[in-house]
Amino acid sequence: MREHASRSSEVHEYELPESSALEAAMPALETQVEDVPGYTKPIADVSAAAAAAVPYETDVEDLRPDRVRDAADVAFGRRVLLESVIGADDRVAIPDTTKLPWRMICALRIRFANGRNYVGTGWFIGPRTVMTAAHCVFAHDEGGWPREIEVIPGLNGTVRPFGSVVGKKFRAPKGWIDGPDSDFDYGAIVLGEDVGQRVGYFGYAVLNNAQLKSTAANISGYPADRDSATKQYFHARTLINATPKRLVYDIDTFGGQSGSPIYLNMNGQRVAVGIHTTGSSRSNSGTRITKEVFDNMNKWRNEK
Amino acid sequence: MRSKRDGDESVSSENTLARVHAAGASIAGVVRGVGGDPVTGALVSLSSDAGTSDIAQQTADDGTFRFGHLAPGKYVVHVGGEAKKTVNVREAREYYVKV
Repeated sequence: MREHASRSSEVHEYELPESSALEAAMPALETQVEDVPGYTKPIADVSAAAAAAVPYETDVEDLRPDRVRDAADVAFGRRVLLESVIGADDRVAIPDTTKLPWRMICALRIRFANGRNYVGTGWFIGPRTVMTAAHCVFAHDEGGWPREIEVIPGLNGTVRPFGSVVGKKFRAPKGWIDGPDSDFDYGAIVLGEDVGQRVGYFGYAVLNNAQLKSTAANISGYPADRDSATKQYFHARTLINATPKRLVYDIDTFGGQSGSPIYLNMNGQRVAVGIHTTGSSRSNSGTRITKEVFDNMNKWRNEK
Repeated sequence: MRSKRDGDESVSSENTLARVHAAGASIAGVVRGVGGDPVTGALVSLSSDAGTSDIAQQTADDGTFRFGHLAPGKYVVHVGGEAKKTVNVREAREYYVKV
């Protein structure tokens, strides 16, 4: 494992060797759920039961819905509803988005040339680079790349504590553009200003299955079912499953949270391991930060 | 044959033309207020058993919205946080709903 430090105290990258032989030697990561006023942290043994109920897959690319659903139902006794808030809705609003890590997370207002507008979520990974889902920066049904995306760090109702910046340069992997293929649903916005220097930026990591298995993952973003996607909402759970390209979880999300960071809090260091993309009644999921995703993020984070 | 790994090749918006290719089924509609007038800027999102992109669309000036590239399945149309309509998508055509 190697670590890079930069001017921002929030930048830490962990790049793990791909050799599976090293996995057994890797110590379990010490991670914490964010401490948010009003949020009730999941009970540890219930989360552990959910993790244990579904073994982590290393050779399966697609979800196995029945097993995932069963695990969630057994562990939490949930009804299956056709929405991506799974079970009781215990998401909480972030009261002060000027604090870390919330200020690194941005509301996105996405404007396509054909007049269609969308809302999504992004997060800083560098001075000018905002990471998000590929479907936020390239929509096959809307003519491809957006005309522009307004990036609003830490939006809190009508308050824009860091103003906003309009981005017009976008990045996405070829697999998404030629598809769309959800395995490649990640992308970036490159801004014309160093906003990331003011708000800070997330670290990111390639973690192996053993390290992901017992970690508490956090997601915070701007859901459309609350406050018209103007307030940041948080939720956390232990991951349910990891496939080679995807992470699966029952962390509650809603439309508008596409592009949110799936991140770990490692003793105060926020390290992203995925990008939230997809909601479902059975389980939600996002793109896993693999070595290839990590390499693209490194390439994009220093672009101007 | 193109390998899956090629899919991670980075593409820049400055170097590629926009593409338009609609495919699959779509759900389109209009959101109207209690008086029947179209609602501009309402946040519309979809959910399904199979999973959908967690993005929300704002209705246009005429209250319309449209989601494309949908696989067969049962979808719920949400306006704000409220589930409004259920659409059972069976074939590659446009399904129109009034909300």
